Amino acid sequence: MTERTLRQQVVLITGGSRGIGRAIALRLAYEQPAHMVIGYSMNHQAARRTVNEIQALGVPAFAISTDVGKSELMRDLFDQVRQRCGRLDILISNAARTTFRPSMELDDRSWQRVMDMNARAFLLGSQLAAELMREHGGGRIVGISSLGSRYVAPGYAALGAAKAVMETMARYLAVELAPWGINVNVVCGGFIDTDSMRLAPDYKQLTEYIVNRTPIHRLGKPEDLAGVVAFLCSPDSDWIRGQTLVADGGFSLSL
Amino acid sequence: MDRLTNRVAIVTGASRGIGAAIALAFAAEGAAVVVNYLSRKEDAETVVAEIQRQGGRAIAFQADVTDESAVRRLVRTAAQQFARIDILIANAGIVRDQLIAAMTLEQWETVIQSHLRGAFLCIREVLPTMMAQKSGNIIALSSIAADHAGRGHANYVAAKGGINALTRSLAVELAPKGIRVNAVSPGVILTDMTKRVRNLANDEILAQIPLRRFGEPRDVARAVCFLASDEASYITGEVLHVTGGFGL
Amino acid sequence: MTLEMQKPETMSQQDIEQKVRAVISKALELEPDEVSPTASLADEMGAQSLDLLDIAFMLEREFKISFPRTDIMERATARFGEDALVNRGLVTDLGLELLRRTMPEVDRERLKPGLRAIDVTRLLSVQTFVRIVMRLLEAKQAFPRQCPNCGSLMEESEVTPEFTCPQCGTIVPLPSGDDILFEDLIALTADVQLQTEQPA
Repeated sequence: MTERTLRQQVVLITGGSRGIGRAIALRLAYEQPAHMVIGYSMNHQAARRTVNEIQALGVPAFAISTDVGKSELMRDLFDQVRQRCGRLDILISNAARTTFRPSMELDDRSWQRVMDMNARAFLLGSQLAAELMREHGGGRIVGISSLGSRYVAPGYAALGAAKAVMETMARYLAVELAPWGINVNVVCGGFIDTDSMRLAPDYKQLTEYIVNRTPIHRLGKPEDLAGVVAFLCSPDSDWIRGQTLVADGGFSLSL
Repeated sequence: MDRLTNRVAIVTGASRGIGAAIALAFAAEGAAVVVNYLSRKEDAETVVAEIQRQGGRAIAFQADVTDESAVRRLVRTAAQQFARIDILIANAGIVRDQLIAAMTLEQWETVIQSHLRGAFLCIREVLPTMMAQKSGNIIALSSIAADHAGRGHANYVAAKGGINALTRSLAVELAPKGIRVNAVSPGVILTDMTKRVRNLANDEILAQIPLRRFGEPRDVARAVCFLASDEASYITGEVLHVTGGFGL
Repeated sequence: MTLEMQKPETMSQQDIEQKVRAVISKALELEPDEVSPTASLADEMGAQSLDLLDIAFMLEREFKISFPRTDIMERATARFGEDALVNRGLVTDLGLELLRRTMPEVDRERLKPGLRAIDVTRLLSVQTFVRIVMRLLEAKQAFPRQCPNCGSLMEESEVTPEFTCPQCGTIVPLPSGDDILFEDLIALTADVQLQTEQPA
């Protein structure tokens, strides 16, 4: 039922060069879209590698370096999608960045930057995507959130708040964009084992703690979220609107 | 169309409506299906015939899910017929709407029993098989009514609230056994059951659904297929709302 | 080699310094004259980790270079050994020596035993970024402009640090800043490395 559901469609994934974004890109590439665009910031090598992997699956793809926290660069990104692909059907708003600090140490600029790069990027991306999507009868927007939106994790205040904004915006956008044929949902992942997580100084203790408290008793993989995103990009999820799907192996159930 | 190849599913209350749609969708994904029904034998046999016509495997089996021995027979038959049980859909349940002041104990109990006792008995009964397989997948049918209060069906709302809590607690309890437990929470879906209840004020309800249409059983069935598939392998304890935006 | 000789033909060191200061003042929302060339961005101008990434991103675009990311430290650790550079959160003597050689602009007084690894980013100043930009511009200058495919003269791409061949469309990425700086590090520490290979 989900095979090749994206034929003729154009997909844009922000933060698509590595980790979760890359897994989503490869999973969606399997559905044979007409074109895939990878947004990324500075890791040119990783972006090239991911583009090559997508192309190897027979899907035309290219990458665009951008900063999703800057409005003018976001507009640029979507202009390029329009120019080079002529349309947009699916937006995966995955790019995320933060400063891990306690709330008392968050200064004006850091707070604003985290909001710009995570919360506003989702709103602005959805706005720009919706303009493109309505020209061809609709589309799908999927945001990637994390459990920090509803639970407390050390240093996660700013990003958690931004993710909560994303989940709330998804509800409003789902209602307001439904007449345009656009579906908006969010996937909320627990701890996902990615390269950037492996950089954490207490990685080993952290992952031990998480595995022990996860009913499924393993760490989440990028692919665990990619499958859920693929479902939300398929017609099978047409009746699911404005929802935040938690995919965490049950971790948050007994917090 | 092969996400559930070689899987075996029991769908309770599958003669009509959402249950029937789930049975048909499962079969289309390659699963063998036990179509459970309470009283509508002909409807259940129609579902089975439709599955067989499309080359699928299915049997119909009568059982009252609130009857312990009937549930035991249902599960035993499924296991004997298809050698395993991978998926249980706890869907059977009835409505008996009434304002609380006028609600009879019988109205309260039949609704609570059909949903909660029914889910409990079916789940408990399939567990030995699923545990032996070290894998299994349980999906209960909840309702948006559990989260968004309405008048005149407190018994149903309480039952569905119970289903959500049951889902979360069993997800934690059964994860170590390789069994995932989730629920699907439909919004306003057009079925014989809801048509009967909701023939009033359709326009008013429609105005609250962003997609401006009522849901169809297959809308729910597709979400259930996803949760039953390997793509959802990291999702457990989740109540997935399938509402067309209703209730946001 | 003197700085004078490293200077790319098209841009003077002064031009570069001015542009770097403009980028940093924009990123940190400061007036250009508030950005002192030698002061620590973190300690005296309030730069946080997000700002440093922003500055790197903006410098990439300003100069069309591939700026180093964060994995220099990882690579160095892989090269010199797990606890050789940082031990119990403190920069080791060897680590300090590496910093002295690779970051000549940093005041020697700040590179003393007791320096915490997490404080290394606090050593960054405008001068650090100027040095890195100049090094990467030099590398770009030295990069062969001939298309490896058809031999035509390639052009710089609009945004991404790469060259594109106007004739056949071949795209050749610039070597990454990480690669360049890591090779420099290896060259600058050739003798140090020999020492570490001897048994303690």
